[in-house]
Amino acid sequence: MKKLTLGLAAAITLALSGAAQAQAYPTRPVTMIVPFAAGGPTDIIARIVGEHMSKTLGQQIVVENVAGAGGTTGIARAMTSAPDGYTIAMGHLGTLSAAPSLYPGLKYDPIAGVQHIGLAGGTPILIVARTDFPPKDLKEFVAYAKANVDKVNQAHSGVGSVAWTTCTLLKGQLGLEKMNAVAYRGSAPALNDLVAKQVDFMCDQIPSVFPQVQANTIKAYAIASAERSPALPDVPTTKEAGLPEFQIEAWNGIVAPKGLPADVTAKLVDALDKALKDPATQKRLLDIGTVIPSATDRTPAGFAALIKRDADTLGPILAAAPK
Amino acid sequence: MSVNSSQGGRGLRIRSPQDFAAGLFMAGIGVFAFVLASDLPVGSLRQIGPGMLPKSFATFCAILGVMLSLSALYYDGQRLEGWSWRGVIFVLGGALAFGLTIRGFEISGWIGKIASLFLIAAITTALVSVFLPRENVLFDLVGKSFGLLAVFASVCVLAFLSFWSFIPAVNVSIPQLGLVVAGPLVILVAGLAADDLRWKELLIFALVMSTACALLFKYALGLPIPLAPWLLGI
Amino acid sequence: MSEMIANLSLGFGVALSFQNIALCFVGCLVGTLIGVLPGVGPIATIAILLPITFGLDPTGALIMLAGIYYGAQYGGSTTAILVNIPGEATAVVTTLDGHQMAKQGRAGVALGTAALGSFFAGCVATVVIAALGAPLTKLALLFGPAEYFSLMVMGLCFAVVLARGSILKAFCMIMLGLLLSTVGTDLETGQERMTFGFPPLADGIDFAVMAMGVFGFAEVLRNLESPESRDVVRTKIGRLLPNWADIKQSIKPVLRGTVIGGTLGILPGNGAVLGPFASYTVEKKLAKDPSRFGKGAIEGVAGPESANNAGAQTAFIPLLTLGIPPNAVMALMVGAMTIHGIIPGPQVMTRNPDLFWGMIASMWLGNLMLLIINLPLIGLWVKLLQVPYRLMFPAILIFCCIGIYSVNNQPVDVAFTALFGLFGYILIKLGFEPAPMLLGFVLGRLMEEKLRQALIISRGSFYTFIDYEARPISLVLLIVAVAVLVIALLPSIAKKRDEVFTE
Repeated sequence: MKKLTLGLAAAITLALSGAAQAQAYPTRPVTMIVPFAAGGPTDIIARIVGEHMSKTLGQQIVVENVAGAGGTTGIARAMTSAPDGYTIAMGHLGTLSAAPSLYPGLKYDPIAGVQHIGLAGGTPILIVARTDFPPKDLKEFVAYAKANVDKVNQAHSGVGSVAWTTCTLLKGQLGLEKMNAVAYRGSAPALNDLVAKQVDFMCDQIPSVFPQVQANTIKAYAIASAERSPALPDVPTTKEAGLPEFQIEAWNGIVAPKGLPADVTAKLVDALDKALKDPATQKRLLDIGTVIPSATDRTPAGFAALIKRDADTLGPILAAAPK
Repeated sequence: MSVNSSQGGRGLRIRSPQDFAAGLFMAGIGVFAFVLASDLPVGSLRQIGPGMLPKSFATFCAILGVMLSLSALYYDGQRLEGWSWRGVIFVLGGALAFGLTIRGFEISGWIGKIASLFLIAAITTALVSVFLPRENVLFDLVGKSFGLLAVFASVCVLAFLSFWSFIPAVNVSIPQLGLVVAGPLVILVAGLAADDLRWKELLIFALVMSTACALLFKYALGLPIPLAPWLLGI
Repeated sequence: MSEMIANLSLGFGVALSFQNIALCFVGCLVGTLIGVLPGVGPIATIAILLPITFGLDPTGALIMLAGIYYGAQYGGSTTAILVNIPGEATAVVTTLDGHQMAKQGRAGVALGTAALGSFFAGCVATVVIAALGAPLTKLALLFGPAEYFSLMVMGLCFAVVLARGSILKAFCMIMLGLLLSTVGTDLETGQERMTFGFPPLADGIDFAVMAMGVFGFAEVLRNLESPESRDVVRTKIGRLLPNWADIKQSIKPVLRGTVIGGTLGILPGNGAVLGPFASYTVEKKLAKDPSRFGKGAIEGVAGPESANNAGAQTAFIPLLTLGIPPNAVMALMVGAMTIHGIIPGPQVMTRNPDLFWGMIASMWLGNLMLLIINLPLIGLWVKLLQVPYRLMFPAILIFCCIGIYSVNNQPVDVAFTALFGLFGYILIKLGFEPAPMLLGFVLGRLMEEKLRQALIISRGSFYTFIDYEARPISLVLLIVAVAVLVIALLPSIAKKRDEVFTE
């Protein structure tokens, strides 16, 4: 009922004075497009961060799930909408850094063609395997995989997914492009078959896999981030485990259409910053294994640099990957 | 399968026009899908390619279609019924109008070409239906509705094959009108399909239903449906 | 046993608090509402209500969200029976006999049977989850890609039995469904298949779009041209509730449906969709007079509806005990748990026993509430059928349009639905049944995925499907598939021969 009254009030105000829109952004709810189905890591981060941003902005941030084409449909929808700050989107490693190399007809340029707001959360990648897979640690895994490249089965959640992109990077670095890759429709079925010992290993984001690692239904070789995760303190980093070049994070960050007014951008950047400084929001993000972005990554410039860095890393490998 | 025309000594004829047309329909879909999938690699059993299953399914569709058509020569079955164009045009047109107006839509490029292709085919079909004599080979064979459908389809295919680059693209840009417009539109357009149409009743019903839907979907369930972005900003 | 009672009493202690009863009721009510509205599914609704639950404690929030899920399963059968629109794959079977019953003026009986059958199945399934949830988890892990593929093959053989008329035409429809399921981006290579380069087709055809087109829209078109058949719905209204004879006829189908649906529901990757189809097949084959099926046989509603609801409940087993969601709605429940600070995984049972057992107890409560909500509503639904058709179909249409739009917030989907409406109308004119096509469509995608996975893992050897040492389940499923097919084909081949000879 409150929502109804608020909505009606906002509607009447707007109808009476069309110019009100520019004066005090935001005067109505902001739509945050999440380019995936509800319930996944990107959606969860968007909702946790969005909830606190709503408090700062004084208007509800409404999450709208627009799934399709590896997330590029939703981002394209947001990037082609009016740059008024009422449509923003939560992009991620795949949609912003990997997509230009995977989708030739992409309708947005994630580096020069969008207004970056900032990084919302980093989700480290883990290399996980079935519990009875012979290698005991990462070094053994690398040796085993190289020696048995035609026997090992890698699972992933579809071409273009985070699990696929990051594992393609790993395989590219190790020269294992020929390894058998078993595609699943999403993370959950792939994980199910890993728990059921049907496939040997996969790479995936920490929010999806860490409950299984904690319960010992799968084992983790390493985490591909600079530091260990508080959610899984026993899992070594790739650097500690002897594969320092494999460093990749499936981050999520907010983008808006190009041409956003400077004051609107500033308000959104500020709201994101405040959300990430809030201890309660921080705790919720940390609980699912997310890394809170550094102060520089939270800024538009820092976020843009991150997108470019990962696009440069992934570009050549994805272009060369056997599909 | 050899067609044994001497069976029963009654010669070869279509005993079940419905099954015969259904078989042709299936075979057509199978061939069409196979052509669409023709550039997809089949792969090997060890690494099945993206084309293996679509091509196999398409082949099976075509084979089953041919079998169905052939069986229509042996077993008696139903005749083809007539079509109710009124229902198709207004009901589906209403839904289409909803889809085009709820968030706005831009028709240009090749979609615009497809649109004008259909327009050309529709006009041709209308002309054929008016000027072609009622007694003719085509209509005798498959019935009037399917005859016209065949005309429509063949004009589409012909135009597609020969005039593709000459077909002008329709460029239409519809603004985001929201549920306030799309709701009454779908009810009014679809309502025309009823043979016991009452204008006043339909008009009131359209307004009442749209309001009810706006309250139900937008406010009670909170779905992100645009109401009237051009007027209310939501 | 005593442990289970202790656990259940803990659960009921949690579920029976005033707040949780209220939340369960709200969830069931909203679920029923969105289930009845065509298109609007539990996914969109749960996603939207998620922020509202932020202020609640996790147990209460999840009780409410779970209520929406199984409430929607319940409500979906109402639409399937009344207006022949299956909101989800599991309701397709209900349209076959349920809508026929409605046309014969027995809508109330069909709805009542569905409600009572679902209630019974839900109760049994809840007890099964409580007593055997943990050991049954192993079943989910026994099904690898090869077993799953064989299960899909078996499911397709069921589709042959679904057909009312010509078996050849049923095969056509299954194949067409399989063909349509391959449209979209290839999972393995990312190549686009048969999409015309049209971006909205890149993710394939949406089930709701297709089902609403070939069932909902096409049914409207069919009704518009034959006023006689639609008036039957309005004029003759029989009893509102099933009588003793109806119930007696339904008891065995309900029992069998519960077992079938409950078992398939545990499987990962949405095995629950097979439940109603399998139950229908079994009922049709066991019936003394199979020809009644498709013409308003009450067993064809009672069995599949029970299977549907049992499967909807047991689908919680992999979620609660493994932390792996078997379908999209359960994936959303995982998200909801995570947002509420509960880590979904194998340890939920030991770490959050009050949540685990509270949710299970609430399922029983929810089923009771659904019965209480739905039985009085039957009168209202049947009354709605008396609305003149000239107003009824535009109303169906606007609900469908908004519903379809809300699935992905994509207006193109509405246009596609219209296209499938035309397609469905052509199919009707050509004498095809759309139900086998929908089953082929639903199973096709999973089947291709599992076939390719299994063959990659086995390095291209088909022996993996009949390897009786390593994969006995796969072999058994394939044998059942062949048996079903033979049973289905034999009488029709014999019949055709007779026809040939008597000609």
